[in-house]
Amino acid sequence: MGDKKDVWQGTLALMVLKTLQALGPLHGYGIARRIEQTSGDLLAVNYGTLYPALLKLEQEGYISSEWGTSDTNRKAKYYKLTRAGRKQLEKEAREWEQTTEILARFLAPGKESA
Amino acid sequence: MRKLRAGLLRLSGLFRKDKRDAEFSSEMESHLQLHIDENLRAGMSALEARRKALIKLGGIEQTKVLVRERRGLPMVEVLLQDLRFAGRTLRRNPGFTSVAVLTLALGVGANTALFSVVKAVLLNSLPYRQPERLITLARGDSQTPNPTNVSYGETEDWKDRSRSLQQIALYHGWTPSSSASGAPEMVFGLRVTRNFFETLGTSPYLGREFLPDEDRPGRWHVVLLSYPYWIRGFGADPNAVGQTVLLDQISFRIIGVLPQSFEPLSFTDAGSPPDVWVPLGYDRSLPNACRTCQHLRAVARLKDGVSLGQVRAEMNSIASQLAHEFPKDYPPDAAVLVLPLRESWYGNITAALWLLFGATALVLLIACANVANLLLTQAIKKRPEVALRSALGASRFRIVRQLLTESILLSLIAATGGVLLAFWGTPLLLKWAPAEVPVLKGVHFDLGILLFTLGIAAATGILMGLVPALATARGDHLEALQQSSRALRGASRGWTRGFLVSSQVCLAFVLTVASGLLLKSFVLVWRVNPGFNVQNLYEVNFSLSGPKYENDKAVVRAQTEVLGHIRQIPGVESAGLTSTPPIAGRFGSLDQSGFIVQDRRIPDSQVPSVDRYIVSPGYFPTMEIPLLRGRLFTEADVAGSYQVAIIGEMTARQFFPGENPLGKRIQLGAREDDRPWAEIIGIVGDVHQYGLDAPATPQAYLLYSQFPFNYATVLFARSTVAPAALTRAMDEQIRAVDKDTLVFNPALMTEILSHSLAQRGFTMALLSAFGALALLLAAVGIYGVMSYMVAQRTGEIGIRMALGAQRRDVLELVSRDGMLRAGLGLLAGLLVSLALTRVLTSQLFIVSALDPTTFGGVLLLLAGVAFGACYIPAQRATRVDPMVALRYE
Repeated sequence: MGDKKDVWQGTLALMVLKTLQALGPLHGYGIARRIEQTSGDLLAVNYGTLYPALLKLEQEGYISSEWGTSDTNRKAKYYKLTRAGRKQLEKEAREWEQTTEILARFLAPGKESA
Repeated sequence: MRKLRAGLLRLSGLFRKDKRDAEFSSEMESHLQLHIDENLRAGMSALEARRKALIKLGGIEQTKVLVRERRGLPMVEVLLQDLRFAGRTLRRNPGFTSVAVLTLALGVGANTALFSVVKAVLLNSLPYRQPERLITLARGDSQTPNPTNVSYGETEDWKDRSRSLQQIALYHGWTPSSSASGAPEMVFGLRVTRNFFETLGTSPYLGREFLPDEDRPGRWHVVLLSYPYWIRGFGADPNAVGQTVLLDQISFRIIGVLPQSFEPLSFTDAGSPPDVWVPLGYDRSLPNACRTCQHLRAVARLKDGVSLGQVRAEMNSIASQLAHEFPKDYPPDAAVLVLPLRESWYGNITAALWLLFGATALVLLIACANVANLLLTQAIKKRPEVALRSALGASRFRIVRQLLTESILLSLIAATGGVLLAFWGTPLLLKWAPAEVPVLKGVHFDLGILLFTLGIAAATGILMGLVPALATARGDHLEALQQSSRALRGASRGWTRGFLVSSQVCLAFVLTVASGLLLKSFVLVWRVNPGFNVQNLYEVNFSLSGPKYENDKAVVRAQTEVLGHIRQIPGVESAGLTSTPPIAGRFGSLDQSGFIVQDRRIPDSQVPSVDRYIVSPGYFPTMEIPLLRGRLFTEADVAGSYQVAIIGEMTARQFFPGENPLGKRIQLGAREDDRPWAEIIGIVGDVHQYGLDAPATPQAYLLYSQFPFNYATVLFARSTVAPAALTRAMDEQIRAVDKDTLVFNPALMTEILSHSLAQRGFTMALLSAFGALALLLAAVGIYGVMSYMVAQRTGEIGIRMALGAQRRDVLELVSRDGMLRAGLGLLAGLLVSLALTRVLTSQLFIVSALDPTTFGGVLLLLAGVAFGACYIPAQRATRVDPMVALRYE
């Protein structure tokens, strides 16, 4: 597992929001699993990072939480996207796309000389 | 916005922590279970599934801590933790805590109280529009360096020639009688030019201002009321405007009421704010409207952008021009004194206030040093604890912060006490304060003062906490853990202690010297012979008003009749009247005139001036002013028409050196050769006209029947009758002559005298109180340190005594240490005082700022106190039983 990459703080919030948008209300474990799976198991979600991040998002009002029951009949705390969270997701996704696009232009080989 | 919301939520995260912790635990638990479930589904054994899940989850406790930190505000939590800890520590040492709190509360309270006064007098801006542009003007020259007045004529010229003044308003006091509520009573008023309110930047609350046409001779019978007088005298009736009132038996039409916010402050010398305002209506045709008749005061507003320096230069050049154009009226060095309004009003108390404020700061510093010392003692007891915490990983910053929290908490508690102290103490302080400072009524608590107190409390906490905290956090913790450092090694921290003791002694020395100098001045002032006998001397004022007294003869007749009635009162030994009482106190009464000798022809501008008194023959025997040569006025002089005068000793010495003044003929005022001249028939002793602490001045006396005056008549009576009964009897007798006579300001001469010294006494009393407080605190400080040191060295002393040391040796050993530190403090105090006491000069009388007896006395006193504070613990040390002491280790 040691060779897997930890998720950066900034991007973790975005991933959490996107996950909640895609899957609807989900508990912490589910969010972590989903992020790991989506990354093709290239990422490992550190719980020491995940839970503070969830708390931060909740404090900022982007997600809300309530206790519910899982499909395996376990009690779990479910997080879901709020309206503000949806907006924030759009905004951050846009910004991220822009950033990657710019970086991609820089890193693309040969284009400068062309 | 989001950040704010998050912050608020985090703040609320500080509360109900247990519940949130429990909730997070169950979330973690459910997370674990979900993971195990999935591992089981993947076909792992139950044990394997759990193990894998736990590994994946990582440190649960670490995650909890991270979440907890995100949830609340760690900074605040640590602070709360520190506060709780500090609170526990303080509760555990009630003795230490109460001494420290009390000491600091006294210091903080004194500072807060003084600051509230300083703020009101020196820092708050005056309640007028653009008050920094307001100035006072007064005409002086090298002979009168502190002039206060102007004449009407010269201000007209100033107006014409000045380009830097927007307005010049003139005013003078006016105290008419009013019989609105039965018996006549005195009303305080001002007569002002019509632009007075415009100059200050205020307009009436009701009605209108004075019209230009009303500021003329004979047309000025309209009145503006002050807001309090409107409430008090007219029940706040808006219809009062338009009605008429009788002032001095003349009817005035009320044209308006001034706003409540208008504070007349120091426009009257009487200390009472004016109730009525009437136009000046100056009559330039009267003989006393001359260019040199300076009986008005001027307040002016500068034009925008004009500096004080510019207006000073301009006014002085105008004064020189005028001196050139009117050489008969002005000396060649005529000048104009331009002062900012605030300085003109409060200049004389500014120095005293800063002085007292400085003194309270010193007291606070001493209190700080005391508590720092106590904290140091505490800190040393705490060393093992600190060492343990340090070994367990607490950073030095964390420990210093913890210790500082304790001292700041201490100073905040003390500040609360101090504010309460100041809250109750300030009104008390103001009650004793001299009435010459009416603005003191404006002293009240506000946010600024609270902030100030909070500020000094925080500064105090840091100042006194930092040294002990650093001393504790530093140092070898291993040694501390081993507990071996306690005894003989106090020396390392002895330096800090010694410094604190020395600085306390130094500060106490400075304060004690300052109060000693003031005390000595005060005693010397009281010993000054006022020139008359103040015992059993009684003063009352009366004023004859109304049309019937426009005739001088009627005035003299009434005055003579009053004197006759007063002499009838049983117990009254003698009585006399005067136009001006000695010791200008309550009304700043003074009456200066030119002193003209018939056979000396000199230019008017070089005529010397004397204090003029118009008296009855009974005045001298009543006052017990001694006759030095010649004779006094007699009843025959009163009836006769041959004019006579009496002069004071200084007048004789200064104006008739080597000559016999008796028989010379003089006039007081301006030379008028067609007026009769008065022959000098006697020389009497000088009286102190301007207060005991002011030098005696040249004086001259005229007879009331020959120079009738019709303004407030001052009546003196010598009697042993109880003041209250005498007041009643005199009031009755005066009004038996004319029931409309206004009788006012009865007082014992001794009261007037102490009143005239009120400010000096007030400053002296406060400074002495602070000095005594400083002395007490310093004594407690030295005693505390010495006791502690003796306790520290009990083992050592035991060994010495076991080895044969005598009591004397032990006594010497212990007290030498303390005295050395006190001695250093005394030396430093001496040097600081030598440098600092000159700021006192303006408050001193005869005594030099470097008075050797005071310095010597204080040196002895403080050395004695220091010795006492060292001796008692040292004495205790000698009673140590060597066996007990040895076992002490």
